[in-house]
Amino acid sequence: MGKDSYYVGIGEMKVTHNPHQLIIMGLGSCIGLALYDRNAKVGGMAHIMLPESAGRCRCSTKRSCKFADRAVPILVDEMLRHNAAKSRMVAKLAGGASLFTTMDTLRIGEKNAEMVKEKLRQEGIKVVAEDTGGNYARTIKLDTCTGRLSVKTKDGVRVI
Amino acid sequence: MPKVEVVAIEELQRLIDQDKIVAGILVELEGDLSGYLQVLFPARSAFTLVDMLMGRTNGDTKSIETDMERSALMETGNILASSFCSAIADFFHTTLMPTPPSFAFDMMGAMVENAIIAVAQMQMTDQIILFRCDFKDEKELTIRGYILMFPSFDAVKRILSVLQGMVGDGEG
Repeated sequence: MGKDSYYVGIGEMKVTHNPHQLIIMGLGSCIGLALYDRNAKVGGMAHIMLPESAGRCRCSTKRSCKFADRAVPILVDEMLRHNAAKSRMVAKLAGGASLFTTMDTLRIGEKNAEMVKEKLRQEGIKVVAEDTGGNYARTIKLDTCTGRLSVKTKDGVRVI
Repeated sequence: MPKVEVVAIEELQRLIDQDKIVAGILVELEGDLSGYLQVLFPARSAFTLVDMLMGRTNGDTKSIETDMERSALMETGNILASSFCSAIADFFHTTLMPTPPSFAFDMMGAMVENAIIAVAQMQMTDQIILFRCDFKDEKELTIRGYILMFPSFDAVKRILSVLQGMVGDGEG
């Protein structure tokens, strides 16, 4: 069986299963949220842009994962549709950086990470690994065979 | 002559090489045409620029590490952003004030994403104005650069109304 890579664009999400992998390239203050069910070997990823939708519901269904408060339940539902079980789901997140000092005051990355974790708590999903913050970009890759998330920066790669 | 394109945010994500390392300068625009302006130099062009500005032999600079190197690129970007702003302001008979710049040397995708988010925070727009330019020195060394303008919703309205006014004048 061929191994495919799916790229998840800004505000999008995607769920797939072993042996495929999910990739988000060049994460800045956005959050890359990865959910994984080890038994079903099903993995999902959302590329989240801002913490709250705050009534801005103009987003198309294609980019329904722009906002953390909506993205988390949407991704969980999609995982369930792919035969993952909520009790086995674990979460890993990466991103939430602040590249430019001009935008430090907005603290978007930090707020994004907080909201994603709050929503995961509400869903009862445990965060098992996290690589957020800092002032550098990340490219992340979820291997649905192992549940490992590799985080590449311009200085190297680490696996969480 | 620069190539100018108006692209939708989702297209921009596909258009650029997201993993590519670039030197980026970000300024916030204040005044009637609010939004963000970003000047990007691909890594190789950034190295060539540093060689020129710091009197090094072409090919000497292989990474951007020191404050001197960062500040040389930031100033070049700032000058470009400022002259761009005054040209646009003149054309639209308006004011456009760039704030002091900030600098990053990292993946292009993350830099662009930052500006998209900032504009989305203010007011949703889904269009970006992208300028691609090549600069040449007397030795024909080419520096490639991108200027990206992320206009707020109010700025887009203002641009359109001025353009409509111009068309109207022409007819009158």
